[in-house]
Amino acid sequence: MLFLTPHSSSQTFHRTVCLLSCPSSASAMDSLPDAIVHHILCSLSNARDVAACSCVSRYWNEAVPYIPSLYFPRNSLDGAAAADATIGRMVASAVCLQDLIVYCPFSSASLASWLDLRCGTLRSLELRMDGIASKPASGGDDEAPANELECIGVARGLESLKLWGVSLTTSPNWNCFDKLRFLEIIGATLRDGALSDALHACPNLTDLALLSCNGVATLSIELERLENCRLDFLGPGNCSLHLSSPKLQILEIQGFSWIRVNQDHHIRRLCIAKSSGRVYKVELGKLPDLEFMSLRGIQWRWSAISSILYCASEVRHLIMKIEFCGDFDTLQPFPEIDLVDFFNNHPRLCKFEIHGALFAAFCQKNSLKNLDSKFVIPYLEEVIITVRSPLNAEQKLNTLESVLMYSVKLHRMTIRLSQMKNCNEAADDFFKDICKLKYMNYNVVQIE
Amino acid sequence: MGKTIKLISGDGEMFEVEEAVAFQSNIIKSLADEDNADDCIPLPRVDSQILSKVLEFCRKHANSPSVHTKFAAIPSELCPKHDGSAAGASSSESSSAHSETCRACYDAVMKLVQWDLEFVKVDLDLIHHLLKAANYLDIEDLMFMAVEGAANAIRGNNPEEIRKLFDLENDFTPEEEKEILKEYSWLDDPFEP
Repeated sequence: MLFLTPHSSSQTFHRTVCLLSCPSSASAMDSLPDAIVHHILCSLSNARDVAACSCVSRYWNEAVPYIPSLYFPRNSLDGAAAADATIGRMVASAVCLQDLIVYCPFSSASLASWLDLRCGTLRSLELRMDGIASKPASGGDDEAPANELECIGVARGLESLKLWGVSLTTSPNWNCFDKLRFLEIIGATLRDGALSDALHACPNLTDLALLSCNGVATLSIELERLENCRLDFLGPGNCSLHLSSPKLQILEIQGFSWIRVNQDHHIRRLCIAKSSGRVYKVELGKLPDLEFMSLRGIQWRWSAISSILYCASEVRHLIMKIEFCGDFDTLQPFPEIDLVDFFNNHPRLCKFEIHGALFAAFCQKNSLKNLDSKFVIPYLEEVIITVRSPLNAEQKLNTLESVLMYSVKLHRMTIRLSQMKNCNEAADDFFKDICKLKYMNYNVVQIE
Repeated sequence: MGKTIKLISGDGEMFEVEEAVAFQSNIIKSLADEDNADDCIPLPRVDSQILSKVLEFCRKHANSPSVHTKFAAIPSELCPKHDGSAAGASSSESSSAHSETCRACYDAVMKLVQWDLEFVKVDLDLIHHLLKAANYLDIEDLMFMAVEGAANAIRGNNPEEIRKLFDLENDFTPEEEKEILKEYSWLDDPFEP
C-alpha cells in the first residue's frame, strides 16, 4: 500500500470528512452526532448544570428533559423564592427521571406530588428529611404529624432508597417495594414497630444500612437476599438483634448487647462493636467463610468473646479491642488466654491486631518446654500490638518473643506503646526491654 | 512485542501497535478479523495527532480491566497481584468475586481512573476530536472518558459560558427567551451576554 503524503492542514482534511448533522454551521460541537450530545447531557445531574443547559440553545433545551438524574445539593436553591416549585418544575419536565437526590429543604406535600408524577420511572431516591416541613396536623393539637414517608410508597419501582435525618416512629404504610435492593437510613429516630413495618415492605433487599440511629430496643430481620448489613445504633442501652439471612456475607454492627444470627449464612466479614454499654451474648453458629473479624467495645461478657473466638477458626485477619469483661456493672480484667491454644485454634491467621488488656491476658499456660515440637504459627505475617501498661512486663515480653519465634512468615510486628498508665521506673525498664527486642529483630519489629 | 497491527491515519502516517492495544477499538478488531493480507488498516477519518492520543489511551488500557465494569466482575487473570499466595488465596474466591476482596485490583482500577481523568483535562477542541474518534472507532472506555471530559467543561458554568465553550448560538426566539427567563430566574442570569 502506498503511503499518502501528509496533508499540510490536517484540521481542514479532518473537517471535510466529518459527518455534519448541521452542514451550514461550522461550529465544533454541532458536528457531533446527536447520540453523543445526549450522552454528554446525560452525564449531568446537578440541578444548576441541567438548568443552565436548558438555556443554551433550542436543541439543548429539547434534549435536557431526557436527562435521567437530578441532584439538588444543600444550598442549590438558596434565595430561590419558591424552591419547592422550582424542583417541581424540573422534575415535571424530566420525563424519564430515574434518579432523584434532594438535599435542600422541601415540604412533604411537594414530595408527594413529585413522586406521583415520576413513580413510573424512578429507580433511585435519596432525600434529606431533617429540613422537611410537614403538612400542619388537621386538628391543630396533639395529633401525630402526617406521616412524611408514606408518599414514598407510590414509587413501586424503586431499587435504591436513602434517607437522611428521618423520623420513622410510626409505620410508613408502604405496600411493597419488591425491586428495592439498597436501603440506607442515616441519623434517624426509630421505633421497633415502625422499623419492622418498613423492612417488611422491602423483602428483596441485598444491602441494608441503618447508621447513627436511635430508639430501637429489639430488631428482628428476616431477609432472604440480604448480603450486606450495617447497623449502627447509638446509646448505651441493651439492644437486641435477631437476624436470619441465608445469603449474608458482610455484617457490621455497633450498639447491640444480644446478637443472634441464624447459622445459615456465608459471613466473610464480621465487625461487632459496642462503644458504650455491654455485649452479653453472641450466637452466630459456625463461621466457615470468615476472613475478617473485628471485635470492639468497652465491656463484653467473657463467654461472648470465647464463644465467638471458638467459632472463628477460619479467620485470616483479626482485630480485637475490648477493654474489660464482666457480667455486670463491675469491669473485670480478662482471664488468661493461652497463646498456644489460641494460635492452634486459629491456624489461618495472617494479620492480627490486639490491644491493651486483651494482649495482657495472653500467657503461656502450656509450658512451651513440654510442647509438641511441631507447634508453629504458620501464616501470620503482620501483627499490631498496643501495650498500655508495664504491669506483667515479663509475661508480655515472653508473649512477644514467642510470637516472633514461632511465626515462620512474620514480616512486620508493630508495637504501639500508648500512654503508659503507671509512669514510673517499671515503665522505663519495660520500654528498654521492648527496645532490646526490637534490636534483636530489627527487620521485623517496629515501635510506634 | 506480540502480534502487531498497522494503522494508517487520515493524513497518511503509519502506526504499528500491539493487537491488545489496537483491539480496544471494536471497529479495528472486526476489520482485522476479516482477512486483511497486509495487516494494514486505513483510518481515513482520524488524523495522526488524534490517533496518537487515542493510541496513548489504548496503550494504558490494554490488559487492564475496564474501569466501568463493576469491581466484582474483574476476573482474577487481570489482577496485578494474582499469585495464588497460600495464606491469602481461598478456593471459595471465584473469579467473579475476586476483586471485591482484592486490594491490589481495587488500587489498580483507582489509579487508572485517576489517569483517565487527567487524560481528559484537555481543551475542548481535543475532547471534541476524541469524542468523534471514540465514536468512529467504537472504543467504549475512551468514549466514556471523553464524554466525562465534555461534561466537566459544562459543570459550574452559566449558559453563556457554555455557549462560548461549545461554539453554539443562542437560537431562541424572543418569546422563548422570555419563557425561559421566567422559568430559570433563579439561575444567575441565563442570558447575560
